Amino acid sequence: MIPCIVVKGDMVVQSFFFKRYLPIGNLKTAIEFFVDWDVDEIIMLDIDASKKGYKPRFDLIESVSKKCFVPLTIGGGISTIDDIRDVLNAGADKISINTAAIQNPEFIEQARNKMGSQGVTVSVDAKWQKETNQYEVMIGSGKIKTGLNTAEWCHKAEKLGAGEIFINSVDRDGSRKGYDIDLLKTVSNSVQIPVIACGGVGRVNHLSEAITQGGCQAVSAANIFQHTEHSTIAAKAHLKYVGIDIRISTQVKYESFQFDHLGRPL
Amino acid sequence: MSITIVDYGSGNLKSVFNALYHLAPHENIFISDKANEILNAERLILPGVGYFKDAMENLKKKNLIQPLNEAVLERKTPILAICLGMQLLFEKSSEGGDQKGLGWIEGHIEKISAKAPHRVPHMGWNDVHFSGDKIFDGLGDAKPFYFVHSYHACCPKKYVTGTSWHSYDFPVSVRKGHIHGMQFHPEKSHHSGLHVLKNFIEQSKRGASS
Repeated sequence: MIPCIVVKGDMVVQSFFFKRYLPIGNLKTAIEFFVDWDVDEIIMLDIDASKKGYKPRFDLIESVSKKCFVPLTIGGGISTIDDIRDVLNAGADKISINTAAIQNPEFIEQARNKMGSQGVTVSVDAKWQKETNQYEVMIGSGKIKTGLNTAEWCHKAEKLGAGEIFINSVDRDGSRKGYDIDLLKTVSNSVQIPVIACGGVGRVNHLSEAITQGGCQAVSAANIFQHTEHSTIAAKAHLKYVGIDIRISTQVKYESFQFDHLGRPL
Repeated sequence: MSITIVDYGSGNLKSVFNALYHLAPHENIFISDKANEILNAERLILPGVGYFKDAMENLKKKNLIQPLNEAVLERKTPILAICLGMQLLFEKSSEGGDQKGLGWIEGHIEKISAKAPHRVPHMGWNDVHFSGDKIFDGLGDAKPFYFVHSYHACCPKKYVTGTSWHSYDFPVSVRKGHIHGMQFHPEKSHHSGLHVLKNFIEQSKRGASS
């Protein structure tokens, strides 16, 4: 279970359909809170970096990674091998690339050669297009069409050396309606590497659907983990309750969470 | 006392540094790629994120193999090798064609041959079952740690201190005297990981019994 921290510059934000962004606070606090509350990994994506053409914020990465003792994936604005090296030196464990990979697919291969495929996550934003009856890969904060079919692009990324796919639904982003299960199925069927689902979680029981119905190996969400206290713990309690093999720390109390027969929190 | 993290251009140095500093802020923690600093280190950490071939080439280019051999094999400097670092301890790996490793522990590295639904890379948290080595003292019989790798070690059982299951059992923790290797990332495994690092720091103190 991997919370996704969406950052615009140095502000943590909540994202709604990739159009509206609500600032919600301090990055360092967000990370410390997640690490204490039993998350498995953290993904931090700077969604403005590629669009506005700036590099990853190394100073920020350095300060937030100091006490981050779970894997930290950094994405946003990484487009050269030097960026990768600098991001790792600042404290990241894995890197996520999106726009740079689409503009230059060989960059995936170069990243793989530099750090092994396990350190390279290719992040994909997908939107359902009625006219072409397919999920299309989008860039520019979900606004610019690439003409690429999502499943084909994910498959290609895997061939080029990606170690994981992080799939985000532009349609469901911030909707709280749950993941786009069809999108997840399409992606998980097109690759052999682990797939992390993102986009649309409104309640903790949406999380398990990505695994039980969507065929994914990991679940991510941004907005819901940002305001509710103990939301990451409630999320794990739910996943465990429905029988998913998820790590539960003995340091954290899970007993106070009750669920109905559908796994919905009471 | 001090801990020296070997910088050979392929490790997540900062993460390792952050974890060690959090546990032992009073120790001198260095990141180094200088032969004499490695030779004189009191304890060594060999981190690892990357590609076996790249890593061995970097070690050669930076002329670190000879000082490492001398520090570890002659001076018996305690060393903890992590992830790719652990794989380098062995004689060879099939990653990137047949590649020679440091050869300090008998055995070789091969690709994980996982069967559906298990995927490669082996990524995420998984339980490590301990076989009684004191490096895992205080953690019971098994605890989850964070893994991210596509290859695993094959070596004589006597060196294995921990195994994990991902389609099948394989060694994820090894020890040959003062040489420790861990396939998982203790610096990224929160409580269990920090505990193991603490054990290494305490147990490798000058004068501590081995």
